Amino acid sequence: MALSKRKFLMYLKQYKVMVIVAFVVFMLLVLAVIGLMSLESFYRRMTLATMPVQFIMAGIHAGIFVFMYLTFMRGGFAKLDKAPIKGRDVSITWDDVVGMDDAKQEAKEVVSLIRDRANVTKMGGSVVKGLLMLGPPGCGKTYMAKAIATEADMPFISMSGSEFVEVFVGVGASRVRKLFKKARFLAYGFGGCILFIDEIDAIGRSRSFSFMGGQETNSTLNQVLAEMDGLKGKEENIVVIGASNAHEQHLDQALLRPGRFDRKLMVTAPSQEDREKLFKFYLDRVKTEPDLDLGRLARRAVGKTPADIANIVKESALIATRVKKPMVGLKEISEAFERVDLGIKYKLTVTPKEKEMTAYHESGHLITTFLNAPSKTVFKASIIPRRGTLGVVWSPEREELHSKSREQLLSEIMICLGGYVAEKLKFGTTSTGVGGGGKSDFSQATRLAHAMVWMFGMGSTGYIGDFTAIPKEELSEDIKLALNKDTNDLMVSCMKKVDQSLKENEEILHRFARELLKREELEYDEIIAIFREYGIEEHTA
Amino acid sequence: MKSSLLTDWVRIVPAVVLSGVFAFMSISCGPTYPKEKLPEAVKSVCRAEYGKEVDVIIEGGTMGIYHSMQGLLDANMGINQAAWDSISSLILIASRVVLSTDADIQFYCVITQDAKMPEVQVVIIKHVNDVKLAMYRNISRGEAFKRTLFSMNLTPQAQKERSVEQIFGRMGLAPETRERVLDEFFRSPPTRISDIGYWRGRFYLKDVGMPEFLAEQISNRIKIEFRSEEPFAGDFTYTSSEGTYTEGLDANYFLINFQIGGVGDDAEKLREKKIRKILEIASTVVEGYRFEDFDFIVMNDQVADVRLRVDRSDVYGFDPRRTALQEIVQAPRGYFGF
Repeated sequence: MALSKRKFLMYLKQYKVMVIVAFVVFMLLVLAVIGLMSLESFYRRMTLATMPVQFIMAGIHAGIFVFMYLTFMRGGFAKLDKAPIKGRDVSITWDDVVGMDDAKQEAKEVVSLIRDRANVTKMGGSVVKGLLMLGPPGCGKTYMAKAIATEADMPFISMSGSEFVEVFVGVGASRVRKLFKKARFLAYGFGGCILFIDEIDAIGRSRSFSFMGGQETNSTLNQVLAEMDGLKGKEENIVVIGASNAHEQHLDQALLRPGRFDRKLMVTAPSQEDREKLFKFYLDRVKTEPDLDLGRLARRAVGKTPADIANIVKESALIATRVKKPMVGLKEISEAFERVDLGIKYKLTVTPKEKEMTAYHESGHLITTFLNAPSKTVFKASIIPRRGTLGVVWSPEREELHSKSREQLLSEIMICLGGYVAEKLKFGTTSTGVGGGGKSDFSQATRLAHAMVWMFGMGSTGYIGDFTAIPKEELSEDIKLALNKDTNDLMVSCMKKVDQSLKENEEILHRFARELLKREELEYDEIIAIFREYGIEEHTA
Repeated sequence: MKSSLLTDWVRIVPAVVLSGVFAFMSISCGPTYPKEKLPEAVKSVCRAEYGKEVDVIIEGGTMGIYHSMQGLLDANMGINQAAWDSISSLILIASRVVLSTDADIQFYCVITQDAKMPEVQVVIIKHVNDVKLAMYRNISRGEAFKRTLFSMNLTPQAQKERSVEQIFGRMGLAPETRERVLDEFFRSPPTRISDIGYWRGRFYLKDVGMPEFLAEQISNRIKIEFRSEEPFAGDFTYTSSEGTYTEGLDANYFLINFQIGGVGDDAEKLREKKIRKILEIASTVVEGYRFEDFDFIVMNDQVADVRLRVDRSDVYGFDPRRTALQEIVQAPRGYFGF
């Protein structure tokens, strides 16, 4: 008996809130009955008759409230209810993916594995669960994912990693669960499903195990990992494609291990050949002059991504429309290049002195580049203000470079110092044009010199190694002093070389400054012509 | 195991309780005022809630409530505010009771007399369904007011008895003989709504029928429109109106007698305006109650001494703005000037 009583009390304690709520509800019901019974029969009947409607209305109001709350306070239902797209509706095929032959080949293989899943499993092979595409922005990762969806002809659910990120703990994980549930459902019906998570670094960053926040991201990632592991049923042919601009090392190791993202595709900037194909692909969609040299355009677009090239072609079409030309020509494309690379010209009132100083500054860059950087082509020099600068020398690399020699780095430092030296040579003083901002001449030069000495072992003091890998407090002051001195020595020696070079070619410096003051902009052909006047030919790569 | 049982129990109980409550409410929804005790119930409520002594009678589907009060009429022979409040409370009680009873009450009639001057009475007749419609806001307050028959008149039975008593007085009949003769020949139930009243402890109430109620209502509405509502009150001189419903061998019809004269020179135009309005009222009333047990309406213009007839279908389809009167009203040539 005593035990029963204790059990009763235990249940009472355990369900205290529920008991209180039940009691309150019961009392309210009793009071409602008493109230109703005290009414005259007509009013009682009227109240009872309207009660169902009132219940429905209360339900509707509650529904509206919950909907509004979830919509406005919790980011809406949209993210929870992603509509799948059928692969064939995406309608981007392998032919639409221009260049990227290696990545495409890898992707084709993945598609064939997805489609031929039965054979793979019959042979005892394991199915592909995930495909991770890494590479800089604009290189066609999303495009590749769409092509995979089309070619695999399966439902395609696309989400961005940021859509899982919420301030409310547990919401991200809940969305992951719902997403995979939907994918499993679709895979059951259509034989497979592709789940594309763009910007996966938003949830796939290396987990931090601290009490200072980040638990939400952790739990979202944990859920992704658990769901990817959980795709074991025979009918669950789900392939997760992740895309990220972030470097592999920033992503969580658990995400990258085999069994989750089994394949990794590096989608990098296109090669010369790919750029040419890309120009052909995009220019085929607009009316162009017949004599366009695609090879020259591709050379000029070193380092450009497919998105950049698409943008250049789009801009050139807009320019042609504006100047009422029936077709896009080299001139419009050149202008589009400048617009994309250098920005739009704007009117800024500068004093004649400032203008003259800018002309000498840019001429210094121009001559130093032309004489000391054979890997670069000087396409343009300008003293028209653009993007917060008073002038610019546009000299892209002739070819995409994946590594640089000591000499190339030195030449880049010299190019950065060319403006400073030219100003000093002509006016005996210098301006602020060399500094201010992360992309200024001096900051670039200093960063390069610092990296050469501290990281690449290109200094002259004999210290070899990447000293940035060691915490600064573990480096002795002597080493730091020596490395810093070496850095400055590099800068000084570069400056001396530039000084000597410009003094030797002072006449050319004055000539370019004069030409820039007169014409404000000098094109590639004009620059080459002036150098030829002084018997200097352009370096060939 | 016990825990899950408890959880199930907690889940089931609210559903059981709710179902029980609804079942109990449904079963216990009997009438508050059963028909066997209806008069007593009305008296009891009036006494308990308002301290009023009333007399109540049921005549078929009509309930009559009589109340005698002090100071019903003021010096100008008008009804004062206190009396209105008292009558309103009686109407409210009547409404409550007829709505919460199982008796088949279609109409109720509240008769009020001044204790000092019982020859004058105020009679209010309401249709029970109109009370419900007003309660549900299906009709406006103005419309509810127009649907209520209101009259202040000399008690018909009093008039009758006073005349007879004068004759008896001249004849020198004994009081017992007078009473016997009155009971035998002059105290009969009323045949018309206008004869409803209360005199010397007796109700003179009839079972009100829908057709005669509607005929009275048409007449009542004509009086309201032409006597006190603009622009008709300015354009016309209202003298009288009366509505009756006749069940004939060949046809059933409403007869609307009215004596309404036009103020102005354009007699034909005013006549058309008057008939159009009366027809609109008749149409509103019969359509409002979906009453179709009539073949036509006769409008008796006593000023012009002309009878106009409109068939039921035309009354139902009447549009006061678009319908051409000459197409639906059977009138003597020249009545409307055409």
